[in-house]
Amino acid sequence: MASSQSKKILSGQHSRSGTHHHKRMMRSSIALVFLMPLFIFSVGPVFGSPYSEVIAFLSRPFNALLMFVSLSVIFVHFSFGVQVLIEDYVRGEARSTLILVMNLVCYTAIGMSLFALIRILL
Amino acid sequence: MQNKKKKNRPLSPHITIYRPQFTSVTSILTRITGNSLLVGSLIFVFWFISVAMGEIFFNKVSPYIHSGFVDFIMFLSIWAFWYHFLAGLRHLYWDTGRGLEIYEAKVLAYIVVVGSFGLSAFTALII
Repeated sequence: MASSQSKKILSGQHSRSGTHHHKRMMRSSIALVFLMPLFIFSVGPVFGSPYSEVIAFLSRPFNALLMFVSLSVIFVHFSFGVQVLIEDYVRGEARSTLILVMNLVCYTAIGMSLFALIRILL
Repeated sequence: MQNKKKKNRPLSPHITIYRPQFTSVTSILTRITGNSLLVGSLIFVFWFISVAMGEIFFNKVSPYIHSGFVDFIMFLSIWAFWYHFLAGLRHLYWDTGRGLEIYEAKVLAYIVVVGSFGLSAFTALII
């Protein structure tokens, strides 16, 4: 009786990965604590500059690297965060579908920014 | 029987039956700002792609990216970012087991709110 009940709980209630989810959230946020101020104050002023200035900014390796690393960590962090949101408010099959869709959005954004960066630098 | 009970369970954050408090509102705002930042981030990625598409395309979409409406979104995003940033730092601090007394939690909540406005104003001045 007790074991069948605990089996039921284990099968439907959680995926036994809560600690891992919390740790990856913390790791990505610690990275962003350092990356984001750098990103905001160096890339921020370029958003709105004319084309030639943007290209000049991105042709410096440090800026290009900062751009790609920041965008990657931002969207990875977002995918973790939005998963928590979905797990809290969406139930049933829509839950896993929505998590999948949001992951797709995040990794597409990372892929496209990598594509953009390569195209700019080549 | 057991299945029916399972299906009718309420989902975890019971915001509808919870009396709003200053600290709880600042906590919920962390989630709202974090998830809203997707909009600003995707606009930024679109801008980045427009740079890669070449000068003609960049100049064609530039008026849209810097229209009043999008500027407004980006400005809100700056506040949302600093709010989420400070609230995230608060979470990292909480995770060390500190700052959880009611008095400390209230002080931290004030720091997050006031700090987010201060840092947004500072950022808007520089950018």
